[in-house]
Amino acid sequence: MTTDIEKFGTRNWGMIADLDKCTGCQACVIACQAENNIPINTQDRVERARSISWIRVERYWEGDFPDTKARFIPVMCQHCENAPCEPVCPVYASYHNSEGLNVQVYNRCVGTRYCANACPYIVRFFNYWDPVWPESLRNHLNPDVTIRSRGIMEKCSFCIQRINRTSREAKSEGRELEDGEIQTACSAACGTHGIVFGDFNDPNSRVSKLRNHKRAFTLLEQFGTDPNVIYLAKVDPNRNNSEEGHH
Amino acid sequence: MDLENKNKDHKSKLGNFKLPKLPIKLPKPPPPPTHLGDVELPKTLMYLLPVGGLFTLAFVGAIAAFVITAWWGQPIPVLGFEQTFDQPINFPHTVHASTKQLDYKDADGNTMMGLGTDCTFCHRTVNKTTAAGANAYIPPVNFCANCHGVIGTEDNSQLNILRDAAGIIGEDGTSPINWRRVHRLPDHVRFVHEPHIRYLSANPEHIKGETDGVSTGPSAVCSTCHGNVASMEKVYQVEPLKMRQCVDCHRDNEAPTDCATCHH
Amino acid sequence: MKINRREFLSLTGKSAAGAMIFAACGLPEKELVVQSPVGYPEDLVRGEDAWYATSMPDYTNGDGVIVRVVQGRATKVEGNPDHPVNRGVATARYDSTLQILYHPDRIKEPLSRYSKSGNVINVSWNKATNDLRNIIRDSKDKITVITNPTRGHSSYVTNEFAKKFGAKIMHFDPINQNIQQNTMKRIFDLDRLPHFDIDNAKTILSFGADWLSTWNSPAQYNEMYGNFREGKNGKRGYFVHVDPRMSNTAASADLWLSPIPGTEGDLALGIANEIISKKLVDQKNINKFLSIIDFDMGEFSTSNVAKKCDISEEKIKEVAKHFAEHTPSIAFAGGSSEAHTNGSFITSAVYSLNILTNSINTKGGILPNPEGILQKINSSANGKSISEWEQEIERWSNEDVKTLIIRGVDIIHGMPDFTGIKEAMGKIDNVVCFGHVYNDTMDYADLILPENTCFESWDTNIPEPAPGYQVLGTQQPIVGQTMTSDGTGIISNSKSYGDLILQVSKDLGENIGTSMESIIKNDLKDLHSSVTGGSIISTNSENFTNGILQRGGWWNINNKSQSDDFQISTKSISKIKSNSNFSSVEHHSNDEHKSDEKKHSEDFYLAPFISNSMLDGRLAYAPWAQQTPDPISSASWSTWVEINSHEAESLNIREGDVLKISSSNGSIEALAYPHPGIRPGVIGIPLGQGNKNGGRYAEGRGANILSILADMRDKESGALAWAATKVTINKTGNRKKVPKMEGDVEARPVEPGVPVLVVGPNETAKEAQEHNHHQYQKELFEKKDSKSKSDH
Repeated sequence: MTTDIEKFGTRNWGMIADLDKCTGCQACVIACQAENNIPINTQDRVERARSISWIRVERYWEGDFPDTKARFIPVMCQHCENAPCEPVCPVYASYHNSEGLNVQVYNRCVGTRYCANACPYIVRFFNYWDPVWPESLRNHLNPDVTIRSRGIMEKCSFCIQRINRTSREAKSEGRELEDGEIQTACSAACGTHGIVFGDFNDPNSRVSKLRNHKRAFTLLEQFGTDPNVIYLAKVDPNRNNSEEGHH
Repeated sequence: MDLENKNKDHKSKLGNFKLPKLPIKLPKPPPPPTHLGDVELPKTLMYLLPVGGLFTLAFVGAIAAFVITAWWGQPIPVLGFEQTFDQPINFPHTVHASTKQLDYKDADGNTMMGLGTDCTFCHRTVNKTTAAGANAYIPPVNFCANCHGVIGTEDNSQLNILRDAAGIIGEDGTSPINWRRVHRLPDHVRFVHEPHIRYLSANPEHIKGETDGVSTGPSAVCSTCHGNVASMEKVYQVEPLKMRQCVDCHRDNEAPTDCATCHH
Repeated sequence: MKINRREFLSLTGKSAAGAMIFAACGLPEKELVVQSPVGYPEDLVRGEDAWYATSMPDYTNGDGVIVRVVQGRATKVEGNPDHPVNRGVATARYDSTLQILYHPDRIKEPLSRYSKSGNVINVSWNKATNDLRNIIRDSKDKITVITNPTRGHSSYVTNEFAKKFGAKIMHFDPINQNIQQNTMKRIFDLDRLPHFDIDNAKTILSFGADWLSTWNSPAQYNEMYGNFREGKNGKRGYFVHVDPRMSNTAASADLWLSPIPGTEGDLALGIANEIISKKLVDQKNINKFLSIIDFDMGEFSTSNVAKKCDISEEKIKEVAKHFAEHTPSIAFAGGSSEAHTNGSFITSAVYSLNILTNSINTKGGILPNPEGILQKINSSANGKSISEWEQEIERWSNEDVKTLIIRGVDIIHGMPDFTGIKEAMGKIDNVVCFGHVYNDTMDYADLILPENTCFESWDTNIPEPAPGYQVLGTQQPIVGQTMTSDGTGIISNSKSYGDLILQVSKDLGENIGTSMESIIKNDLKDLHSSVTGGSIISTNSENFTNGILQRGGWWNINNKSQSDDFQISTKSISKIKSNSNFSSVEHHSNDEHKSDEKKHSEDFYLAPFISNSMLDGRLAYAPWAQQTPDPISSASWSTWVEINSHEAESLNIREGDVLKISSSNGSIEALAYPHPGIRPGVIGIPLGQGNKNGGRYAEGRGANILSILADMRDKESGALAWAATKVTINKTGNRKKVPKMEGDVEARPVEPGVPVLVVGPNETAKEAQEHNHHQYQKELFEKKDSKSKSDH
């Protein structure tokens, strides 16, 4: 009698981020902050470079005035198929599950920070302090997400609480998940619909189609991490006219 | 009781912690040495050394006691094994949920039968799929007052607490009742009732425990983890609800045992 | 006290160290206190997390949002996918509103100040309402109501109240005053802001307006921008942005032009001249354009303009060609380019470019917006110009005004000091201030009333600009008053502004309505009988009303403006053709600084800009808004000065140097942040900080650049020319760390194109990577070659 058991492990979650649509507006950053109970990055924490943001929008300068260009790229955990953070964890707190997620198990973590050192994308964050909210601000905390205590690592989970909730709903209603039904906080917030989330194992999903886009590339491909986050390159109509403007 | 008071309780408990109560038998301290090799020790140190040893032992013992109680105790109290609380109102699950004959007498002096209410009549979010269904929420006060505005004698002091909170009597109609939570899983566990109820309802052979209450529908499966709540005057935790229990059951039933199923 | 495993481990560790065992635990416990609520929260009865559709007030342009409510608490705000304005997308500011709702320093009870210099004390609502009633009764016809520019039922209530009690209504917005609306009226005869059909446009030419982050309706524009980038039939849109400072809008542009501030109008006419002289568009359109110009366009020859604006001729030609040939194209101006003494001229010149490409009332161009569906509610509102404010403040000084009712604005923070508002407000008998968190204006208030946030009160919001058709967003209370976690009190005993005004009016014998809820529901009922189509169709008026509330509003994509709304008025630009002026700077004789090898007292154009997360400061109370990194500098929690990196180098200014910025009207201090994305000679400073009050997260943080603005205004409209101030900068000698995200992630020696890979229009990612690689190798070898040559 296993008919009613949730079918687990048939999916491979992934994300597409279209850099050509990214306007650097930070909507995804705050949406993530609100969804995942990330502690307030106080000025002190920012100054000490210990602020936590599971997704950040990096800005890179190219060229010089008057031809300056600023390029934006949202960077979150890449959920690498071949993740450098996983083999280094002495307590298996960082592992890969069968749905393609790189999972951080908070209650296993003992805070060695090896994973943060191994990660080339620098998307793992250590809780140097207990998270503190003033009494009344606790009201807006998301009850679906664990509050991480001091001394453990945390990182983007692809909003696994949303994956679980939506899968559960679909199961309960006896139907299959539809493509696009699960939205991570960042993909829902993205002002230009530039972040798309979905199942790579479904050949008809939007992410599967975009994965083969001619502009598709992965971040720091030379490290061979095989990320599940695929970026679509920024288009610059002037690129072929000018020399490379990198510095 | 709020958190601060609770903390105080435990602090006081720790303060009263006495060595003789330890479950570990302490070995007899060896006689104080008079010589350490060839060096003559000062007399005071001779007496201090065994005392220091005693302290170390006491310390280790205290930690061991802590570990043992934390590991084997219920998840709620670590020191002390109490399994139930006094709630703000003595709410008898027997009267509401049981289908059996009770010791209670009603207003007319007749012996009462339990009402046999379905669990989900009050804990109505429990079999819903979404986040609110994660907890068997306690209903709002005026849900209770729907019945108890009429049912129950006027001098029932327990019911009057409820009526006061609901604004039926008294002036203040805004303060909720702070029920104390009995079944609490650790913070890093995200448990949702709905899939468990759904599965057990479809596979009744996996239900464990018995109930004095309704044995059809969702109510039938609650006893697996919560015990026979319908027979409880005061609710207490029956099962340890440790991860091992969860994982065993998940394995038996071929449910996912991926960490991220519960921990995220 | 429950102990999870990891906490348990840490506890044993602690006890070994001899620390207080239970000192630091139980953190998440409070958040889960089991509390059976008194009333029925909707989500509890339904057993689901409820997502409520509502809309946000003017600072998000009435965007439709859905709010997740779990056990009576709002936990997340997302865009409403149904709502036609933002179509499901969010901005970085939505969630911050949650933190205003649950702000730890929210005003808990009404506050009253008995003497002008005294402290405020808590009073009951009974007393506060009584006081308010007496104040209004005693100062009839001598009342001024100051609000943000609202378009909805609260503005209806304010208007009615003003009519009944002889009050004057003054809308306040420090940044967006009346130039947009005036220009639309002047050249296109439009009564409200039009819709830009960015979805279908191929070329966008924007001046100054930071439309992807803060200008007008950023969520709506962002959503359309995504489609614009994707392009119709795979043809990607081309976007040119003109702004002396690089904003994130400028960074998103394919071409960024950085003219000398104040010359944007010349640049626009230079582009026009290029189009006309090369005959890049239909002669018919050229004639139409020339009919509104009666000066010699020769003055704006490409070479002249290039010199005046300091933009290369090739770029002007390129923009003109793109703009004229890749139609449909839109040109619009706003933000920093309208904030000059010739702001009306610049704005008119830019908008008239649309005449050349025939982009008016055509697909992919500028579309007029119809008036609102409810006749009694204004569908357009803008801040009063600084000249009107000056007159008003004059009235205060003359004691012609006895009572001020202030709602939704922090006018003391937003109004430049030169207006003398602080002294004038001190002369007002009664200042009544509504608000959520104690702000700077409340220092002058005699009665402070805690107001419901937009998540707790009934209202409607009409977006301006609307998406080209009639939209009415509804705002409903989605959470009630929130209990403190111990269950003994509530976070804030606030009331709805509208309800309170209605109640007081009624008490004084003027019945406007019983409550906001009843007025709105009645109006929706009336709407049901008057409309046929639209987003909600029902035979039953109650279902209709509920349908609207469930969906977050009512709209009808067929209710567009009539095509004859656009009438291009003649000679509109010529009358106001003018050059920009800037405030003069007093040069201090810096004797003590003479020893410096280089003096820092050169004049800089000051380019204030609206903070992406805090706007002009109205969200500064929210920690999320404070901590959001600025898109360009990645700085947060502070006020910084953006200065061109080469210029900074020559002035020996390093990042984090505390600079003193002095204008003719005072000075502020802020941290230097040099970067290559700003014109030399211009400094950019964000708005929003410099709050004296404002709760634990905002108070005493950074500096308020608005306070030292010079008294410069657009001659035509009287609006504040907030980008026409010149300043000097001086190093104070102090240096602090700029709180910023940049630098958290160390740079690694990687190839070019990593991490942001850029491809040409027809290039694939693979090709670009290979190209970059070869380029990199070549440069590497060249370097090695030259090195080995020099070695020998």
